[in-house]
Amino acid sequence: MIFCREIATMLSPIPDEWQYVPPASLVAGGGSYAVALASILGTMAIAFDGLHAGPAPNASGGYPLVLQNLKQAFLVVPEDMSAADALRCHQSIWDWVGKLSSAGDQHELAFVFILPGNASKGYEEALAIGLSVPAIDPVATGHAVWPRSGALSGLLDLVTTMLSMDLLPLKARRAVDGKRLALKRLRVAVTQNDPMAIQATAHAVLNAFQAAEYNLDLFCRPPSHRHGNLLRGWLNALVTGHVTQDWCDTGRDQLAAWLVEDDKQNLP
Amino acid sequence: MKPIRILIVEDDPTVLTVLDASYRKIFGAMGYHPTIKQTSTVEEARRLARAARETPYDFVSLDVNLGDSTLTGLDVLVTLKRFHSAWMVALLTGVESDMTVDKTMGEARGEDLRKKLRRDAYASFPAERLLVVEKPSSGIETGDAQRLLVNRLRQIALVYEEVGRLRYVFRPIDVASLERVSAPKGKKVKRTYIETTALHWQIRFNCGEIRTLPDMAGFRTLHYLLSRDRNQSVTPEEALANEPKSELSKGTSAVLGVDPLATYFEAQGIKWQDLASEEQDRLIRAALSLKLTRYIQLREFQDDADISPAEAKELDAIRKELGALADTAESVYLRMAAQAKELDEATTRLTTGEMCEAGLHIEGGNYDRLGSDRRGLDSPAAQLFRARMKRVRDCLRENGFADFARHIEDCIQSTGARWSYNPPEGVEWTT
Repeated sequence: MIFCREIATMLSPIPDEWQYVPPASLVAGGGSYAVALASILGTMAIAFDGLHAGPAPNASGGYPLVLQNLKQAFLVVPEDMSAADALRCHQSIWDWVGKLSSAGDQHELAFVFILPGNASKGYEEALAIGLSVPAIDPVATGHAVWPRSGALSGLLDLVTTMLSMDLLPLKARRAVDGKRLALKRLRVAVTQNDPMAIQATAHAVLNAFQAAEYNLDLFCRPPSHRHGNLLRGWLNALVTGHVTQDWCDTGRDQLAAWLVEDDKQNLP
Repeated sequence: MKPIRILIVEDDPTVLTVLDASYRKIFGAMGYHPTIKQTSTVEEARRLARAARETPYDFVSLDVNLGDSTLTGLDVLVTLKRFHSAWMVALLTGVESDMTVDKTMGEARGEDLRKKLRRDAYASFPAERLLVVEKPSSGIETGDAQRLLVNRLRQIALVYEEVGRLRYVFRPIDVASLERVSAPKGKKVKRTYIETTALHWQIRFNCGEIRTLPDMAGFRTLHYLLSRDRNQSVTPEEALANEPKSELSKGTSAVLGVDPLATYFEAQGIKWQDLASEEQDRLIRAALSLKLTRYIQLREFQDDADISPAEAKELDAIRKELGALADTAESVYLRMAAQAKELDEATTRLTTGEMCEAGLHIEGGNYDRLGSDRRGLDSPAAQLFRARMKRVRDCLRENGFADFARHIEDCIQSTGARWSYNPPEGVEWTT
């Protein structure tokens, strides 16, 4: 078990091929589709474990700038992956780009989520919420979704018409996003130990998510759904019942464990 | 007239006109020849900032609120910093003087906003090269507001001039230290120290940021070159002697007496020796496909010491891809190069006297030692040295030190096999 945990935290070696021919495309995902797509695009697919672990630095502690020529990134979403996990992969891909390109988070690229056949419309909406956009528009947001069953030529055409974007506009959008701001205020409120303020901010969070509280999962640490359930339970108890000191203490102790770190996904 | 590249980012057309005219007038009066580029959107400003990676703007006048719903001038500032595309930035803000902020949000909140803006701005760009300047309030009469604005722009230009003095990037410094005086052998004496000084060369980038270049070998060569007396020249041999041994080019181990072409093709079942020379050539080209053209091109660049790091990597990658055919490609290249050389020499064989007249033969150049067939060509050492210099320049540019790279290009002259560093008279060595 310990061995497995060690393996999981090991950094991912940068593919040798990238050192010789800096790739224009990056494919993240496992399975035959990801491998085939990577092969067609002349690059290597990064498995999810390696993706989350991040690239391994070289002997001097630096990173080779092998993603300087990167133009597009494809995230091949497996059937059992939640939207929250897909957004975490999106963040991890940006971590790779940030380390392996001199432009860092200002490297411009087109990002495509390749969704499985069983993905619902709600899945796409959840991704849009995570990216703080009303809808995923390839031309306006630099992101696109593509069904795995779609023709490869269509996917390649889509990429050529997409607007390449860096991470700054996404960060700026997230900084003014109502849902994120409500969660930020809640995080601040629980540290101030004022039950009334906590209750008010909890109300604000639930209002921000309006009848779509399941989207709180998108802002939770993995396992996102479990943490989302705990957060929803805590919030609902706060707004419907009498606020007790115990609930406030629970919030103070647990909120950081439930919600994604401040610096991840640019959560305020 | 000193050239100055200015970028003005402003969404208000009236203010833009005033800024353009004022900067031209003010900088013109200070002896500058301004080249001004204008833009009014965040998107375009960020695009220009990216594009200016190799030729950074000397001065950027940047408005904070550019009418974009999500991005502001601060995001442009972040891009300018990331791509090292501006030497100095004046951030013009309306928040400082906008009374409506205080009226609608209260004075305390207005003050918080102003402080936050400054804090964010200084976190986004080196403070010593950033000026946060308030635009005159909209409550002031137009004529007065314009006069006030022009006055502030004049102050900005003066600061630019002052800070610009620190822009030169390297200087000699005396480093003082205490050194223990060694006691005579066999005698036990009280510890004595003596003050010693040593001359060090400090490479100073962008006013205060002192950095080490990643390409240490190139840096060392450059450092050595710069530390010499400006009237002295450094031969490539001297420069190479100063290099760490690991940086010297690694020789390729060729197996003598074996024809790699024959070995390769016979392993494929082709009777190589029976084929005519033209047939062999055709077969080689077919086997190497399109890679050969690029390989030959890159090898020519390499032989001319004109290969960039990216091209060198590409060459390595092609070699790796070719595998067993890499030696074949090299033989083809060498054969073609030899033919080209023969042709060249047949048409352009010159005597030493003729070469002197044409300025191709440099007295004291080391090509005589390498044989008469090397006349008119740089020695391998000179070629290596030139390639290394190019690498240093590329490295500087890639790391955002375009000024320094340009300075090297301008001030390090080559005359055949000899190199010298000749800074212009006007260079100020900061202390």
